[in-house]
Amino acid sequence: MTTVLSSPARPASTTTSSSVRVALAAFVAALALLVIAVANSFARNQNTAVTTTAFYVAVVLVLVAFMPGLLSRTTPARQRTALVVLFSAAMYLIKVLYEPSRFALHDELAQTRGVRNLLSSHHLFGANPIVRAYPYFPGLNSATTVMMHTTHLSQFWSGVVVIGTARLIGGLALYEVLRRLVGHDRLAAAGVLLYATNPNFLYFDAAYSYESLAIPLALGALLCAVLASKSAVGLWRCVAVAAVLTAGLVLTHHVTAYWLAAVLVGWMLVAAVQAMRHSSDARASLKRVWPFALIVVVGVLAWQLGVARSHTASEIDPALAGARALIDKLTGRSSGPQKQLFASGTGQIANPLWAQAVALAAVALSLIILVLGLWAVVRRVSWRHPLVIVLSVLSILLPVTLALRVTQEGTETSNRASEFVYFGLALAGAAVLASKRRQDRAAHERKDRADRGKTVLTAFGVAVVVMFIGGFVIGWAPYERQPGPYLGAAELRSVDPPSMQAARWAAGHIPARTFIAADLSNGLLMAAYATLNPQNGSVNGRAVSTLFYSTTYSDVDRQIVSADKIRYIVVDTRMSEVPPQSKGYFAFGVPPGVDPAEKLLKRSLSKFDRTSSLQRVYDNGIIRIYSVTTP
Amino acid sequence: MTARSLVTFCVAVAAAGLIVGLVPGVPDALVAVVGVVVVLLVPGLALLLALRTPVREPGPLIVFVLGGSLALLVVVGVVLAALPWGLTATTAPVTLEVLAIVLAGSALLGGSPAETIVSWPPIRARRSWPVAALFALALAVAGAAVVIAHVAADRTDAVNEVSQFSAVPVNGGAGLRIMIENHQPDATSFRVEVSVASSQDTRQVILARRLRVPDGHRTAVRIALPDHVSASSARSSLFVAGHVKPIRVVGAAP
Repeated sequence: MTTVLSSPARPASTTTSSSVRVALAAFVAALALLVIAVANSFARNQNTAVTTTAFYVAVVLVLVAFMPGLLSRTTPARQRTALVVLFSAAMYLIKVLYEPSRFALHDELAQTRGVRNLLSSHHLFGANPIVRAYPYFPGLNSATTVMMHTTHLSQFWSGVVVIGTARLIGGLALYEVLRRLVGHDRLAAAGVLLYATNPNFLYFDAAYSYESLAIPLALGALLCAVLASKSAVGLWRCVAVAAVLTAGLVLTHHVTAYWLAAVLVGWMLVAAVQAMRHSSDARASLKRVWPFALIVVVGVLAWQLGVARSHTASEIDPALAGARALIDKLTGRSSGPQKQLFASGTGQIANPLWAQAVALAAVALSLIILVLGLWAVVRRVSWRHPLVIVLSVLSILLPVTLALRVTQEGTETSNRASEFVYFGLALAGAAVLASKRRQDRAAHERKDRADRGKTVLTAFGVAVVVMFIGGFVIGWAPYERQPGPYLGAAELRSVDPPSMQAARWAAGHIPARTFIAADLSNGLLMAAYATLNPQNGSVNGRAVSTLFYSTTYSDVDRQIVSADKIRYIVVDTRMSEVPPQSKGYFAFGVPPGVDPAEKLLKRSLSKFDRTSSLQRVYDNGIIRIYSVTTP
Repeated sequence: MTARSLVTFCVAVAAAGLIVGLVPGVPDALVAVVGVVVVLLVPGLALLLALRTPVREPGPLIVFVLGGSLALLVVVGVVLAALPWGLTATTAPVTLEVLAIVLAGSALLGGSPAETIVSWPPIRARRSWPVAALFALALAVAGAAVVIAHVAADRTDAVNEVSQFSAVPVNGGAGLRIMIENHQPDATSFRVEVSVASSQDTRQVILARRLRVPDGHRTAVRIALPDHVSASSARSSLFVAGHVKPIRVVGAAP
């Protein structure tokens, strides 16, 4: 396979016109971002057809602005690199424009709590009641805290700078890896575009969350290995850079570290098999890749066995629940609630028909590209690089992850898996275009070839747009895609001024790490911004949420309060006024016979005022906080 | 750019970061700008210089400089937090910047840095002012988008903020700390009542206080309770003076 190490010299006029093209793409994308900012601003007060349409059109425009430059044959390598960087930056800014002044996603709030723990204790492993495994992967928290102390920026802006930088690295590292695997920078850019169609790319992968930092670090380490395997740079110097990146990765996110370890070990195994067939390339590859695989495996094992231990397993177990739920569904043993496709968790808000059609088309296109890409890889002898084979094998998981979405439990697993599985799809897409290019070269005259090339690229561009919007529809509920007025149990849309005011008040008046009872949204805010510990789960087989559903403050409620050492009860009165959107107001279980998709009764919430052992210490008309005077 | 000049750049920026970060009175904006360069560029670049990593292409160079910086940020943070002195406002910047200086300085050891193979890619393209202007315009428009989104989000928050009332026992229950934050333009005068249960269903007001809180303001007062009343038995209620209906009722049901 050809090693692409330096770009051929091009005439100055080509370079200048390409620079104009890059600048124009940046300008058009910036204009589209401005439209998104304005549409989001209006949507905060009221979502209308105009704000929604403007948002989607502008998002597509950001994508389309970079396509001609990324996919053009005439773009010089350096300009294409610049386009990849700008594309990654523009895509990240779409997430920043959604929530430009605070973190509000579940994982973002959990990381916020981690940073607050670190800021107050200055040491590791402060308990995190939102995600119990987070303290054992303190990479993002530590990086943010160092950034805060060095720049004096707020936690929000420090996080934005860290994740924004990581996004640039991620896009560029993926491009550079693909470029060296497929031997062509245009095909690598096409792969980057395809990777961006994964359902989590726009928001989740850009969130202030540990995998958003870990995936770029993993890709950076993989790039080191690819460079070293091509003999382009000194092996041990590359290993040293990879070791630093791997250290950052292992301390940041378990699953991404496992993924990198699996890929590198897989690479070694495939190379070993190829070496047995007397392939000198494979033998050389094996000799140069083993140090990378070794440092990742040793790093993962050392941290897992020495520090993280069972905490990782407790977090990964829910992800496996998705697979179990799918098996139950296939074998007819499923007894849980049926998931309504293309609707929010409780089925309150459904996607419009056009969105459903685009989502289905996106699934069909991704499967077609996957099949054609795998076929192209199998047929093309020069594409037998061990890493190509490993990524192709991993891409076969794509249909499995799509199938997981038919169950409620599997949706989350499928979402989380997409950022890894789509690396294979990116490669498959590049393989499809490469095979098309070869066929064209063989079968047609020069002019026909150019025309056909344009048609293929246009078709590819349309497919990417459909897959991008379809992925966004699949990955995010309709109410989550754009800011808007308050909705119950709707993650970002449930974080509004009254809840934030109550959390800020609690931060100033309730001692840190006090146990509280609250619904999911307010519990997250109280844990993140007030450093309180919301209690979930159950006491003697009764869900903590029983406190909120019972119509009188009974002995059972007193038992829950006493056993869980609850000192404050946070009551959002809107729970009796608006129905919840996602899995209900209490994601950790509700009393038997209660439908989590229903509103709570008014008298269930007003009972706290009639209870002598509780005192209302805070009220903003929407959120009330009761102090437990006697359990 | 030669490796020696890159070493000088790293050492100078890290030293500048130390000075602006630790000397009091330096404007926050300057600390932020220098700090971001120190955090994102210097550690990764110093690492590549120290290792003499022979990367010449812009793509891998950017990945390793920025990625190396982020990874070192993680490692430095975790190591400091694991040590007895902890990750603090002093230890974090000092350690990161000293590490960067040491790494960059080590590039001078064991041979002339001018012979090392780290270099920025040569820029061959002719300077084009229209291109630069278009980039600057794009940057300005993207910046404007972020500012608009930020201002709109803050403004929506400000408009939707609600009045808050809290009554927290203080001095071991001998008094109450009352806080009122008003976000209602039509109500500026509030009456706080503290009552105790006089029988099963009735309550007796034991003291009342009128507070003036203009729209957008917050007031906090301490109220000492009579000797025979404890904060746990007292209930406070809030009424808008002159209004028939209480807007916030705290404590027992009306």
